[in-house]
Amino acid sequence: MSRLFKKFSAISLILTVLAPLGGCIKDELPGMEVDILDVSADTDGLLNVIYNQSDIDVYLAPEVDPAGLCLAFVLSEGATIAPDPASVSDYSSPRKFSVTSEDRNWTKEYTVRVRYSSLPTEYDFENWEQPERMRYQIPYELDETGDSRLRIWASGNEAYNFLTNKHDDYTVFPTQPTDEAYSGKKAAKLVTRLTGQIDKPMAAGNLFIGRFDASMREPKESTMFGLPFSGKPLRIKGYYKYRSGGLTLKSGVEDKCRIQAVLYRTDKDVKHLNGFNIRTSPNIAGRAELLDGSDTPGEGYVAFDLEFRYDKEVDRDALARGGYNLAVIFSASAGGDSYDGADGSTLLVDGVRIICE
Amino acid sequence: MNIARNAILAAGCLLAAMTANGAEQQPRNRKIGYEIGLGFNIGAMSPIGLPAEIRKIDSYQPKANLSIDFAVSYMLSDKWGIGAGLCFETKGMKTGVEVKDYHLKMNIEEGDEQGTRTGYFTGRIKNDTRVTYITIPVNAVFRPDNDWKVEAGPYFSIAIDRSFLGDVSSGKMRETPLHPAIGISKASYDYSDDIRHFDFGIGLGGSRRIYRGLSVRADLKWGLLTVLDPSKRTIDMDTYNIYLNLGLSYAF
Repeated sequence: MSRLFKKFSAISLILTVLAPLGGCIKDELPGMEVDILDVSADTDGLLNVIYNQSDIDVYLAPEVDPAGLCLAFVLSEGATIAPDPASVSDYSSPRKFSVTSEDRNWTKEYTVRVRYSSLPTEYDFENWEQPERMRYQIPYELDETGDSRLRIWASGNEAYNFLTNKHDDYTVFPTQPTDEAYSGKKAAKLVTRLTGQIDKPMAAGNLFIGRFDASMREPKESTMFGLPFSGKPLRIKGYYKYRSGGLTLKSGVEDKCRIQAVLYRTDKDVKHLNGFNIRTSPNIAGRAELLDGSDTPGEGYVAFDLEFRYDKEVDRDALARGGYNLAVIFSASAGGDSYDGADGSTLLVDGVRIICE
Repeated sequence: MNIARNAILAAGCLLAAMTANGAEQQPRNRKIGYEIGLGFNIGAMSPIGLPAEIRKIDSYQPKANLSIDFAVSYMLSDKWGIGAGLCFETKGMKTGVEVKDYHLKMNIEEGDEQGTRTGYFTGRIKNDTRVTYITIPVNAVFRPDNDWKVEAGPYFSIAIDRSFLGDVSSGKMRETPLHPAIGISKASYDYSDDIRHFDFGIGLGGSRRIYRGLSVRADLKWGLLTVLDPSKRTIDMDTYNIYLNLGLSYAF
């Protein structure tokens, strides 16, 4: 009996050897992230914040004086920022901040700029840039002075960037510039591509005014449509060319493109609309939409001219104070927000104009 | 599963052999001994010490990994001998862990952009592995008395069936902290081909006779070769087969 007991002791000894392999969780390593996760201000006049890699654009209501502004930043866990934002109270010119990770191994430089609700109304997609450390291109607009780049356009390229391994070849991305322009030298080309991911099988070529946040797990939350706009738009017009890639992956219908523009009211709870509520939000005032997104006839560009239909009165005072956002959205696959589309569907867009009252 | 069917067959043979054999025999006193054994493997494809990137083990589920083996031993003296065997066995487990900033390689094998990506993943990882091996152990045998037997020596395994499935979920992935984080709700993978065809390691086991030729035994097999092929591996961690076999053997 005692021998048998010894035997079991031997077994428990062996199990004790095995146990540490699964059991010991080591102390957490210091964080390596250097993100600015949120920006807040000591005023109600902060309308919107666009995070574009290392550029952060803070959209303010017209009455806010940048010279007396104080901003606060929410950083990644354990990260530190220099200089201390509490000691900075003048944003009349761009301010640089540097964020260092908790483990001190990573540092990211940010440029914070103040913007006022003065979205341009003409989009010719002549100017493209490659964001830092990214392999894709994205169009930008210029402010009234022509000196400062307005990064108002966003696309799903940021998520697709992780999938690509063809460094610095922007033509593999769903959203890219093309020389096949209606006017000027360049136009926007949106191509739907397959990703090979089981849960996200395709990436629709898309381009919209707003912000794309790839870190959202729910893709419809990644697309944050719209930026402050101080006019009442009546029409959106421009030129486009569309070639469907065939039947869509999920629903198996002929793929179509989507062109739409939405003016919506912003408030404390609604800073932007996303893929879930861009069609249903009660904040929507007016919408202009291309009704038939089928292939365009002929070889060249075709004009579109879409009228805004308003369900709600637009509050003029709120409009002037930056209380409305305009979202302009182009997609090569109408069902792109739910990963439905056809490989190769291609939408070219150029010479877009917003006609205001 | 073939192994399961073989195991049931073997259990039948074992019982048959037990009843057929005479009670007076002292099988262990023979110079050449034969044994058949039946057991199950509990263990893991585990790193030696958990890396700090693993923050929490959500679940660990051993599988009913059956083994069936046949062994021959040859006694060189009263107490010492040598042995060798042939074993069909499966080694497998299910694990769920939470990781932080865990460096991963991802193979993208479909779509317009194929190839390997690397990045840091924070979130949940679930793995489900099962490998069927044909294993040949070679042992030094020590028999202090009629009841006990201790064996130690190297083993060599060939994988005849490999499966390594898993998914990452509820997390985010980024190339470096300076790149944007990509949210991941759920992405599945199949890295079965990353498991090496070959494994070897060392074993240490003991058995005690409980009734006639029947013994209980415990046998620890510690793999010395990383389970995943370093040239292909997608998980940036050295993992080894560490399994304890518990079971019965019958000498005849």
